[in-house]
Amino acid sequence: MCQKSRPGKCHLTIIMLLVTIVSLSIRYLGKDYMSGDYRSCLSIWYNQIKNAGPGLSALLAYEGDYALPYAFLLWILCKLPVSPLYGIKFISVLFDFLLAVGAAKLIEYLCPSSGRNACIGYCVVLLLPTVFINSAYWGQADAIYSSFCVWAVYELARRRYPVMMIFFGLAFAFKLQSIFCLPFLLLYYWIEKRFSVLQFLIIPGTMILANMPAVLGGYPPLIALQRMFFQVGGRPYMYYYYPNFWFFYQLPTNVYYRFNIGAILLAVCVLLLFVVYLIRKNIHITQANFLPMLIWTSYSCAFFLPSMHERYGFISEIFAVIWAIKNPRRSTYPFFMIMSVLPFYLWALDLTNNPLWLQALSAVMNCCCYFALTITFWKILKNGEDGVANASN
Amino acid sequence: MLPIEKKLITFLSKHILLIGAAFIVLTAIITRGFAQNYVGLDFHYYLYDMPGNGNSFLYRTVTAFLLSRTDRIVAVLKWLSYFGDACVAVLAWNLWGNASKEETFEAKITLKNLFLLAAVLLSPTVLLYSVGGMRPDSVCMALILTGFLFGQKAKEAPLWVLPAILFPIAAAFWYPVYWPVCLVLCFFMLRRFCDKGAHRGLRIFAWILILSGLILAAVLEHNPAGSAHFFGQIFVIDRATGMPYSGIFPWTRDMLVLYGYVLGTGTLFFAFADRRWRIPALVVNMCTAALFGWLQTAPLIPVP
Repeated sequence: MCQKSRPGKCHLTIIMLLVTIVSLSIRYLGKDYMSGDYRSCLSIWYNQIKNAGPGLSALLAYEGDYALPYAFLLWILCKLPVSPLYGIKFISVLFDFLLAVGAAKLIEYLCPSSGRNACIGYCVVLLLPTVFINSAYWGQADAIYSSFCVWAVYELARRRYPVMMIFFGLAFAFKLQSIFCLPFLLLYYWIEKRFSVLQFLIIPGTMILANMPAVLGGYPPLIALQRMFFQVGGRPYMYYYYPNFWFFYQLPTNVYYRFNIGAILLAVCVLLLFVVYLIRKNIHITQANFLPMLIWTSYSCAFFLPSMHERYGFISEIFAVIWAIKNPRRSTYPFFMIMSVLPFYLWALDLTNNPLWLQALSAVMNCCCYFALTITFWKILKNGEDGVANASN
Repeated sequence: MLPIEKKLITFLSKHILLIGAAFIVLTAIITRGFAQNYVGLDFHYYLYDMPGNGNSFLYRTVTAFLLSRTDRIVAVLKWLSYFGDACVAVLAWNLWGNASKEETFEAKITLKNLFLLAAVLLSPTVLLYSVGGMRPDSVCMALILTGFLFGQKAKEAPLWVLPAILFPIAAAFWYPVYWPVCLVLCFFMLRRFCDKGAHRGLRIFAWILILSGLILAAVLEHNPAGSAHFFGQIFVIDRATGMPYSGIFPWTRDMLVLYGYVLGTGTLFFAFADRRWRIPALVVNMCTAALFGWLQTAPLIPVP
């Protein structure tokens, strides 16, 4: 539960400043590290754009599988007198801070009586190993869409739905994995009935606007929507290093396309059963249960969908951390969620091997965490968080 | 929110159980349909090209009959398992679903029934055994549940003959794996459901019929000309090598695989009968699915 102590604002500001300096230092240490993904993908994409000329039409030379708004950021980098390695990481680090601020704002809104929790949220998110490894060492960009998702959830909590849709639109524009938040959004729309379905059109509208530089560069107007599905099916394996259920049922590539649709439908069934349960039991989404609901739905997507990369649990891990800060009794969930993927992050940096036994251990840990979370979440739905029964807003 | 949206949401919420049931059935069909020609490792272990083919005489006879009539033996055997799955779903609904006196089909779909349908059609254990493995377990389970259903109803009418026939057939179909299972179930059922004193003669007759059927199943198994089968061979001989098990771990592993379906679906049914079994059912099913899935696909692990 949120605590009612009120440490001085001055102390909290100093702590946040110190943590900012520490987190920047940690990220600075990784600035020269070139991950495999940087060498084989990011640097190549950067050079494709840089060598294709000065105008926006250079984006047509981009052959990467990341979204075009990200390619536009690379295009901007090409104009700046910075090394591509530093520039790419700088973008991700910038969004790390946006993510941390968003998490702090969300926690502050959920726990208004405690300024300390928001400070803790900011500090913890910045210092999470998966966050700083992802941006400053690996050169990945998961913080971009995650920060937009967190801000979207913050706006949802404040019931500023058009702004929420804009943030979700930006998140979708950068990465398809934002779709893991869609089940919760649809559920909220269905159960709470607080906004019209027409507001969902803001999402594709925002995506189209975010892709406007690419359209000006020569891409078709609806490239935003076409490109979204380009990201699907790129790795035809049921298990692709996210330690979920499919680790125990790995299939060769030639049969992937027989099973992937079934796997997706199974994931949808799991969520549908949950939706049916909520509707039949007339359970509303309250401030007490919306975070665990959001975590469970996004976590279920990563858990049951095939071809999940090790980074795809990123957004659920962040929300789990936020939940743990709001309710420290739930700290074990983000701990195990992060610990089960951390070996893969270290492997991506060539710091460790990735033996099968370690992958199996991660998968077992993640499976146990998922099922424990499911049971806890079930109890929260029945009895409320901390035994307070669910009631409508 | 627009008025038409509210109306649509209200309409869909009113029929959400029917929508959910339809989606679950559709998922079950699509998942099975896509995999109907998938040849897993089980094809080799349980059909032809391994030393001590572990299937029963009855199953081999059925397979030989089907082979003579179609080239698509894998798909046909898969659909036989799928048929078993469907029967198990219907029977489980009757046995453990919320009984409803409602006349319309939609009214009979309660929340519990929906979860039961999802559990028996889409549980990882069931999918692995029928979709991945084309095992006969679901056919056996369907026969057992039919016998169980009639055994329950036997309180109202003397229907003991039916379970007495069905249980030995189940035992023979996946002999000897289900042989002890059927024996134990018969014992439990006859003690539990038969009123003492009432239908005593019929109960004794049922016992004779069951035991005769089980003995016949065992005798049939030892009669195939030129075969080297012996009672309990599958518990002694490693089906992968044709040699006795090399140690306790391979033996335990294979026993868990053999009885995985029974354990998985059995605990599921217990969970729907008594909510204290929910977590054990979840644990058993996930362990079974993990073990069986791993054994089926570990040798095929690609190197991305």
